[in-house]
Amino acid sequence: MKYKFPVHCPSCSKTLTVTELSCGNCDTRIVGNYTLPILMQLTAEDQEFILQFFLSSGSLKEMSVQTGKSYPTVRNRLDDMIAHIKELEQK
Amino acid sequence: MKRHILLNPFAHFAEIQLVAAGLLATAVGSFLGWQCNTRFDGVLDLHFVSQTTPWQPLLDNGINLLCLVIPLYLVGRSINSKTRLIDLVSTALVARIPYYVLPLTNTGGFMHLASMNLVENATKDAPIGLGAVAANIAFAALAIVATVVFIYWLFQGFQTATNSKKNLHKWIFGGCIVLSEVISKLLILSVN
Repeated sequence: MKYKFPVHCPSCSKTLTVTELSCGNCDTRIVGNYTLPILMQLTAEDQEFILQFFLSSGSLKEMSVQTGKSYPTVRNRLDDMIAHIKELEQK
Repeated sequence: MKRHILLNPFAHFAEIQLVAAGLLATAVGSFLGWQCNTRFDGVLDLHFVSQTTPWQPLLDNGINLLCLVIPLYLVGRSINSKTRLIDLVSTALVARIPYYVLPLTNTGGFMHLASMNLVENATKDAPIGLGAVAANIAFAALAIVATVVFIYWLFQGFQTATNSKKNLHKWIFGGCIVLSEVISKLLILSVN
């Protein structure tokens, strides 16, 4: 089962930070307080959208064909995500 | 899924498919308008007459489409500079489809006679036939449904084309429809 990557705190809804990283091979652990990169702060659906956008060479037309959505629908989603990312950058 | 597509076809179909379907529907609707003596004399208007020429319903629809597209495009561009003309053309073409079904109710001049009968008897204080009343009520109900679907589709298409989210945009959209109705009515009366 693929677990959903948590981005927001389930208690207070604030953005989570990474406090521990570990090596799956030798069990080395790194403890600290690392802020999630902006792209990691997006929802899984938004990250999937960005991946699709990258794989289709940034062609919204091609993406609209692949996803079965109209061009303005795909463009609107991208515009909303750009606005959201700008908000995250300002935080 | 199919219900979802019908609720907002503009989110699912490519602009070329929507324009093709809309043009075909406009041609069929104009033909029905000619055959069933119907004038589309305004963006939100439709009247049955005693005689139409083949080009009258076609010109009516052309004027109505222009009167819808131009204000919606101007407003759309002011809301979002990425708004494309083709998306609003396809929106207007598809949204008007419900109106193209209405001429069928006047097959053989049925609705024209029923409405004339109602008006004449009412003005002369003569008894009004139950059939004429029922026909007019049924047509009014059908026309209301067509108008609701038209406005709903037009709004869905406008929202998809402009990515508008604010309540103010809804009011501006409403104002655009009223303006389109007034301009189209005046143009059709003077030109056609």
